[in-house]
Amino acid sequence: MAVSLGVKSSVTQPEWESVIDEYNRNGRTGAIPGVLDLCLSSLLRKDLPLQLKLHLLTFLEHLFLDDVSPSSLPRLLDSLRSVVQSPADPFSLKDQFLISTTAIFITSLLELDHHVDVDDDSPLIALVELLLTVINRPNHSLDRHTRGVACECLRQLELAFPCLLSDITPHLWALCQSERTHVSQCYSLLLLTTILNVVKLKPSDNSIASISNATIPLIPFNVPQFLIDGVGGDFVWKEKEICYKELRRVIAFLLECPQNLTPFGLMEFMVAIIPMAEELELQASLLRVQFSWFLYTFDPLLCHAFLGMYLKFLDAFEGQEVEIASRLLFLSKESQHHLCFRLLGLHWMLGFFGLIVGKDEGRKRSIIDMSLSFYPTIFDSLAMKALKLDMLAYCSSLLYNSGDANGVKGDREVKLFKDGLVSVSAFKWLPPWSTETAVAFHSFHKFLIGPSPHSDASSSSTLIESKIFYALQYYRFKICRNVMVEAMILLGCLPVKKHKVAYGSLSLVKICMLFETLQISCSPFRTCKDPTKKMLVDSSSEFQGLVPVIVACIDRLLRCHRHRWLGEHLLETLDKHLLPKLRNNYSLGSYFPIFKRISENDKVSPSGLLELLMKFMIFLVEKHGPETGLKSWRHGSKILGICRTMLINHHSSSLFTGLSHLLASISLHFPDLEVRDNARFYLRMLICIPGKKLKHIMTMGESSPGISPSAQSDSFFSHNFPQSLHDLKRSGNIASYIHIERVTPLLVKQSWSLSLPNQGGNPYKPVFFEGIKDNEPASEERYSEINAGVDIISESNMFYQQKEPLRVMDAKISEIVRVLRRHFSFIPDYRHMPGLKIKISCSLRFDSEPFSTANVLNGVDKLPAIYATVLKFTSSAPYGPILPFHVAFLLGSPPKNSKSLTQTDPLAIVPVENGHEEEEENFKAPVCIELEPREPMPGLVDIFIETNADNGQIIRGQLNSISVGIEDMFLRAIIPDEITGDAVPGYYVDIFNALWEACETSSSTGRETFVLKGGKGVAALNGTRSVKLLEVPVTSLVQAVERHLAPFVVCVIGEQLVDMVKAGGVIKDILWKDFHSDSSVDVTSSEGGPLYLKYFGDEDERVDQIPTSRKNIGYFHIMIFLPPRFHLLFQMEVHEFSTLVRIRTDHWPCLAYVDDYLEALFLN
Amino acid sequence: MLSGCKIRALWILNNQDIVIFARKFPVVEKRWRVVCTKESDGDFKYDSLPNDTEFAAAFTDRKKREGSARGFGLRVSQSVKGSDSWVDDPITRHVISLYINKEEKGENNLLWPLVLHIKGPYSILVLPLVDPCHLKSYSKMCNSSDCGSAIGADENLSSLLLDLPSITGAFIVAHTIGDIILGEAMEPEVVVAASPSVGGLLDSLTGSIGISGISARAKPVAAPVAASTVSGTVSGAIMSDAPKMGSRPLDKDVLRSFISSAMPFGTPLDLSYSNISTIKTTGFSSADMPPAERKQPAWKPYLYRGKQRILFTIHETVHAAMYDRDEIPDSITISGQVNCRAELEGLPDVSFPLTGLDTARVESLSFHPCAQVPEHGGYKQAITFSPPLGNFVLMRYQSLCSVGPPVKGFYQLSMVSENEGAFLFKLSLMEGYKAPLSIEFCTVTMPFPKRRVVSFDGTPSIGTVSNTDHSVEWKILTNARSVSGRSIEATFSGTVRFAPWQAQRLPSSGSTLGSMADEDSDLETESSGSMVNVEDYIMEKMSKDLQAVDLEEPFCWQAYNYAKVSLKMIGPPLSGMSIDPKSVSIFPAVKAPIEISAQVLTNF
Repeated sequence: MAVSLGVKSSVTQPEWESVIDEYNRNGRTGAIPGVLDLCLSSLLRKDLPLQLKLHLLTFLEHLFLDDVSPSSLPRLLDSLRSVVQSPADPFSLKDQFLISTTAIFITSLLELDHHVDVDDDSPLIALVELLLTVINRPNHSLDRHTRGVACECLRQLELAFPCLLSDITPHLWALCQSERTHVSQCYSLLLLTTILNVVKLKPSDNSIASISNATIPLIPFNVPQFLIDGVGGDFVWKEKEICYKELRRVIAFLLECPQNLTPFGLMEFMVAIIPMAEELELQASLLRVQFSWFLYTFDPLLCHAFLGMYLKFLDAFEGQEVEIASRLLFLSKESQHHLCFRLLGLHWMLGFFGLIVGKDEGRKRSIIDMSLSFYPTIFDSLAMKALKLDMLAYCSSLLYNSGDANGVKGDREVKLFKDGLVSVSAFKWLPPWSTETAVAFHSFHKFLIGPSPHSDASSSSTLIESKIFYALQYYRFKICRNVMVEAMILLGCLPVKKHKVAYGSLSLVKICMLFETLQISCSPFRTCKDPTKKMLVDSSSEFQGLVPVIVACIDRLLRCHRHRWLGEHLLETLDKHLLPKLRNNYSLGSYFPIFKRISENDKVSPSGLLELLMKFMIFLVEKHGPETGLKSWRHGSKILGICRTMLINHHSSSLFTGLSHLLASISLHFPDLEVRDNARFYLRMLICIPGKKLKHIMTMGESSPGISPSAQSDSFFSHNFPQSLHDLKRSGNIASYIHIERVTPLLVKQSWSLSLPNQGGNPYKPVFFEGIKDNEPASEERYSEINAGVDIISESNMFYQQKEPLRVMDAKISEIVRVLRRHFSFIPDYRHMPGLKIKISCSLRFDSEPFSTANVLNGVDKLPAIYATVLKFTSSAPYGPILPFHVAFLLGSPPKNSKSLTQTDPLAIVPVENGHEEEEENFKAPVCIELEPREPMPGLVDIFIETNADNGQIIRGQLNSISVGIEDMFLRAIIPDEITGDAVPGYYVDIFNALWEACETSSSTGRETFVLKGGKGVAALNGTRSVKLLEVPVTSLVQAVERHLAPFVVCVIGEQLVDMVKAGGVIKDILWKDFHSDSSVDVTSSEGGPLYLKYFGDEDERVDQIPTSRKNIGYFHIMIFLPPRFHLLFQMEVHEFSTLVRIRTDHWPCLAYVDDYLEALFLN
Repeated sequence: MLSGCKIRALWILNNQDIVIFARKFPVVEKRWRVVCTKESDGDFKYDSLPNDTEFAAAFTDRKKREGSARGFGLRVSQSVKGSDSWVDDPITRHVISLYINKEEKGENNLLWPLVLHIKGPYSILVLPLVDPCHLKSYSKMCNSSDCGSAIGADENLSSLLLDLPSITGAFIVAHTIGDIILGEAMEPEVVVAASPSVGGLLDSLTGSIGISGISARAKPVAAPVAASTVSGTVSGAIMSDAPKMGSRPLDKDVLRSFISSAMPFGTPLDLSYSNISTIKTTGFSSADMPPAERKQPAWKPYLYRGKQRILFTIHETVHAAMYDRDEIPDSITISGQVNCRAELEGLPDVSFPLTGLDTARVESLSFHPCAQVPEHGGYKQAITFSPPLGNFVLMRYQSLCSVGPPVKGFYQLSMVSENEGAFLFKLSLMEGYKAPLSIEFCTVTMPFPKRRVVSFDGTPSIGTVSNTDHSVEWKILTNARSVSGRSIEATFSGTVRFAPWQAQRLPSSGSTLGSMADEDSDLETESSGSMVNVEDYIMEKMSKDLQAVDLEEPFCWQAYNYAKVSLKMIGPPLSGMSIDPKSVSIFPAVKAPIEISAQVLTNF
């Protein structure tokens, strides 16, 4: 279609229409050459309908906006002239042609600086002349509307090219005076615009002086000099008396006409008259008299025009603020208006207040006094309600900012909020996505942040220090609290008190009651019930729906840099007031989004939440049944989710006690296996991984929780080797050439770094399961609280009940207790005396290479050395104080070897058979690290070195940390002095048996306490069991035991095994037993493997029938003492190709490492 | 600086989001381009107006982002940064922004402020000219990363709107265009008593060009206005925004010629459709002489010639909420207006005293721009106006009611089972109303928007009952009858049965605020134990899938059981507003009959 246009000389209507449509859709005309010519020729054709021609004209206007071609203007003008002068063409075509031509001229000629290149034969001049000819027939009847259109065209030209018509102002005035038809509006506006430009730009000194009598003719039209050179005069109109008088006359004339203008005409009129009045310094009161009626019309445009004027002359109108505000309020009240105008009215009022309020207390007060009329009414649309509530929020912020600093203020603010909220009170029972809810929370937000807008001039840093800020915090907090109490009432957690406040004024009471009953009114059947009771009845199950909304609101505040603290306050408030009120049932599940926020925020103490979760967990355990399996799983997972969030966001020190309790209980009692497993996993992480790293690990995502930055991080090795001694100062590099290594490498390469966060001032507090307690009653109430609610998990809390009197017990138990009492009485209480120590042997060496680059050295003789080295140790694990270690002198190891060494793993096993061993040893200094563990757990010991180089330079820095493994903690049980010689094995066996019994989880000795050495501390036994199957042949098992566990074996049972072990000769001085003589074995094994048992009795006869793999060769009993006071017991049931290790301990966290240890010990 | 009102462009989209009409104003656009080029910097530069395809795409895009054509209005959880609802202000449902995605450039340009007016199946969008600083300021507002601006903060939407009369003007333009494209009556109703047809020139003029309503008005009693059909709007029936059925195809030529006359260069000058179309079609003859003594106002291009008379009609709409509780007074407000038609020759002034209105009860009062209002509240005594042509609203007022509501009563609905409700009405009509009043009809409607009515039982003491799918309608009075002074008592009790309850799924696009119920909220009700009775249980169940209402509604209607009373009274207005024909004076003096009528409509 578009293409076909090009070849045709005349275009039909449908073709044009498709071209125009195409253009509108895509902004392209296609490849049409000479669209303009085609258009013009079509416009002049007689056969095309009028409507199409009009359409073509607007199409041309659009076209010229994108495609400026001033060269075609003369042709356009010619066409226009022929149409205007043709008597046959209808007026509407003439009008549109005038308009479109003018528009095209303006878009083509208007340049950035309002400057226009005009010469004498410019088409613009011709256009103006044509237009002037049209308008120069005042009161002519037939073409009056066309004259009006021409006036508007001229006005647009004058607006585009200011002062274009300045020279002919006198003519315009004369025309304006004589025109009496309805188009006089156009004449007036044209005159006004022209005069305004003259007044503003002052094109020449005398242009106005002669306004009453024209000096030049109207036509021919000449472009004024001002438009060519652009130089205006510089003077004040008031000083030019004659001109000023003339101007006043014109303006007086113009001010007569507003009543005759349309509202939009008036708008244009105001746009021009106000700057003129300013320029001429007219009295504003004059304008007020003329225009104040605008406010009393229901035309929003006129109201707005008046406001525009008012704001221009704020001072002149002083004292009218209240009246104007009340008129605006009227506008918003008129239900006949469209909603958008009512909303606009409210917005104007807000903007208006913002402009006038300033620092004037009086105005503030009058606004606050108006606040009663801002309350929403029943039939206001929700949008109106929202805006009116915004107004109230504004008032509340004014209240806040107003000078009087007494406590009443906060209450009034709260009251404003509460009263206002009544209008959307339906949100309390509507679903959370209801619009009412959105409005309510919108206003809540506005009320909260009211007094501290983001754009506040004072920067936040200075604000925080100021007193205002504290005051603000106080009041906001108060609001927060009140609002949250409200919210909690909604959530069904608080008993609803009649929160009727003594209202200040009578009308307010009315309004409030109106609001309160809004929802009742509209649902008459609801009236039969007391609404407050209703609220109670509709328990949390209904209101928990609000949780996501509350959470969204809090999130919004939390994300805001400036109002974060508000969100935190809200969370704190919820934590404090909401949590204790929540009912412990399945509905608790829907509060988890709130819990999540609390757990995410490290400003809020997690203890309350943990407590609640603990209760919830118990509830879940109790309620667990066949139907609730899925529920339990879901809620359990949610609880774990919260735990996880806590681990990420909180310092583990603040969490430790509560969270570990919770996790422990879950892992022990939760009915769902997966939840239990996960809980155990988290617990392990919590215990073993220091805070920062833990956070890092957790945030890495579930997929790779095991990967952790180990001590031998690559980053140490990726450092550039120091090129000069100068670099040695840089402590970060020291670890790359001074090495400290364990002599015996750890069996388990711990995959996590093993320590707890620093304990700060109180070394006891964060320690897990503060196992030792003083005899004095515990002062912490918390524990008893927990205990009261947690009957079901009493095992893990048992030691809190240590004050209970002893129970009746049978002889066996009393014997066990006796043995244990004795045993424990030899364990030193590290709090009152030196504790048990473990020693870790290490070796220190350093590479001479970095030193040698500084001093050119050859040969061993000139190897560098370091002197008076002090190694200092710290650890985040509970290892007590660690004494520094001194090395007087150390020679650097020669480069050849050092190179290979530095590249191997520092923790790797150094082959003992190394031929250069002796030589090597010369370059190593033995270092002994003595630890006094508070808890048997692996960890890292950080090492700092301070030493002197040959040249006296002091080198300081941190070396690679040393890992402490669980096996470092292994000690033999303490033997009392009176037990000597042969009695020792028997003693050990007794203790083993006693502990084995006591660590039975159901053991009744669990409630006993045992006094430690020194008599001050007591300990309780708190046993746990575990099992590990090792698939290793018996020979390698025995070898491993001999190599690593020999000192701890207390008893070997079973002839076959005894024979093997005795043959090895490593394990000596223990009790050897056969199966029949040991009763304890039977007891335990009957639990673990009843299938085997029946074979035990007649083992000898039926040897062939028992598969070798199943054949029980014997037992190892191994007892390990873990400082400060714990025990680890293994009962290894040895078979031909596998070994079942039953593990019991009174320190269950150590199971976490034992697992790995055993695997490393036997399986690798 | 008062900036005036200039329009850069306007678009009309149909309900398939296709641009069916677009108009750009090159002069204004050029001005915008000039200003933009001056102020352009790294972030801000001139962007040409979108073509129709781009515009429609942007509109659809916003609809998707904001849930509906209007948008959320308030910042909800679905709101995204940069969108209108991020600004968190209900007016962003009316003043919207669009991101224009230019194909070739691949960038998003913010187009603001677009005034959105939805009328029938059409969305009308008008883009007024603002300063670049305003646009920047808005862009900052909807992209701020904080939690939402506080009221009265330095840079806020309110001060922008106060600064921009062009937005106000654009609203008026949009509404006018909306009325034109739907061909709705643009003149207020004036009730004309039975009298020989007014055969003046204007009538023949306006009649021939189809100013609607004139011929209808010649009938003795005007047809009831839209509200009697209870369309569900609460706001006055006069300004009912409810979409009309049977919209005809858009007459683009009419629209185009209206726009060219009303705002030839994008600056609106006169939006009176009747005047403009009369001028277009009739033009002027040499007989139309301008008045000799004074100038003819721009809003009165023709002068009336013929038999002279003035007609006044007082319309009042009652809004009432009744609580049936002693401690809470019922709330009854009246919004009223005086419509006028002055068939007077020349350019006379008319004045009459405002005696009837009880100033203590009047909450607001405003006038047509043709009225001259003395400064400082003098309007309360008398009003003088120079009437324009045709029918016009002379004044509007809001007032509290001096007497009780015309219908008083009691309505109760209790769900006796899940699908059956027992209801009871006890109504007393016109209690305390005196003789000259007559009541034309009175209907009570019980809407059940969420339940399908299967059947109902019960016979009312007076009137007839019928039901539709979602409502029961009780016509108490169908014929006009005058009020005797005694009240009319009416009772109606019965049961209504519904189709079995079906949980409604929330349509994904229907609710404006969207569903905030996420899948994780697993609400678990305690089984039956806490439920007090079946009624609560049912209500609970029903309120769970209530949809969010538009912000334009006063509250969630569906959440309540309510009955709606529609009635029309002829007689003295409830507000006490009255015009004494004897005190109406015309200057220059002329003898013209003055007719006054009044009617009252209700909405409860």
